[in-house]
Amino acid sequence: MTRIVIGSEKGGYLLTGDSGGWSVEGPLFPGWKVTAFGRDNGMHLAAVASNWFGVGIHRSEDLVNWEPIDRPPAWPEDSDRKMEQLWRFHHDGKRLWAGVAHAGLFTSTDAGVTWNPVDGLNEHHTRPDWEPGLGGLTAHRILTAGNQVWVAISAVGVFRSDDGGATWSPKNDGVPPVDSPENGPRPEVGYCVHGLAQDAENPMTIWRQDHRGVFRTTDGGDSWVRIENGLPANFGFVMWRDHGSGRMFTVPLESDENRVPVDGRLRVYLSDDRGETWWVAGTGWPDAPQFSGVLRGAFDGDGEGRFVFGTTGGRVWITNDNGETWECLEASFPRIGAVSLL
Amino acid sequence: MATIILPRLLGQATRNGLRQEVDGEDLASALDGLFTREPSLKAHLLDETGSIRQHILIFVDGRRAQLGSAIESSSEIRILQAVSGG
Repeated sequence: MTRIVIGSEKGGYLLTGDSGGWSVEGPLFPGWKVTAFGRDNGMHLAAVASNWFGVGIHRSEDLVNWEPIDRPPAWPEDSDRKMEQLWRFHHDGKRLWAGVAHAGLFTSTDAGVTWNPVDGLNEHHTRPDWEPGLGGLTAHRILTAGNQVWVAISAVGVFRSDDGGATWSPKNDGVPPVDSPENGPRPEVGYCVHGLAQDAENPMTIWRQDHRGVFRTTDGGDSWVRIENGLPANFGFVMWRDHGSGRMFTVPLESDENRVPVDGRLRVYLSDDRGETWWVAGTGWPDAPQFSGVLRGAFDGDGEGRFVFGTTGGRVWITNDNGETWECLEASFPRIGAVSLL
Repeated sequence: MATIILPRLLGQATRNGLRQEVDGEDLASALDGLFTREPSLKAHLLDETGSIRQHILIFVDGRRAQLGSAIESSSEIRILQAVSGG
């Protein structure tokens, strides 16, 4: 039995089932945009956002009874930053991290009750040059390995810390800036990373779905190379590595201007050679056109062959055999922005 | 004591319901009292500068109110979300 929690534009939903059928519980937080899910040992966390009421974090031990925390991450009163949305929770074994928009990182050591800003990143000397993209100015992906931390910030780039988050350096060499020619000027920031996936055994190897293409680094981000052989387009948001098999997953979208599956063919693409070559994953895809995309937080996997994603059209797709066969759940939901396998 | 009536969307952000009694001479002090009891509401009702969030309207006894607006012990403070799409 699989349990999935999804966050949508209007509420969260708990999905429980298998190939024999699925039950849907919810909405959790009706009327709220549910933007991220996290876990800190036995505590579940859900982040919500509202155009009217800003950001909130709720905690639950049973996914049924949720308690709001008193003080979610906040910017100083004298800053010109707004707390628009919490995009990502990440637990590194000791600390719980949160990536937010306007872009920044916060950490918690009490399972999300209180939060402290990561000043080394949030007040980075390049910050005056951080400009938002279409999705805002968001810190949306966090990777950790020991004392090393990577963060992906849309329209800014990847930063790495080698000292647990005290100091940070941009790591985008080899990736074109979002608004410059391939071989144009290389500013310190201005690189629009959409997704990151890491090799848990070799954490200096990271895959990157960027606004400008698909890339891989084997030196922790010091240099990136393109890996797009077999993909019908190099735009998209999904980048996932199944740790057990090493298989890579991505979902190409047509282009920056037209963020839908190429020719209406919603397909996951796989790679078994570390991204050198890609091909269409398995069976189960519909013949009917599908013009819904997949957003940067709307997928998750268990590292053992199970992978699930939600679409902007509110449908949920799952594979239990590492991408060989795919099932679309019958239920549909509002635009999906967050997915977590429980 | 004045009565604050919160919008339904904030139901899961409160511990004591959508209708709460508060003391205060003006709206700011009434909200401070509410936030003491319901700390999570502060970030939902005020922005980073301490002002009422842009898309929230607050009425005291039927009149649009600001943080400095006076309230009385019999006042009804109604907090509304602005009408907008979505």
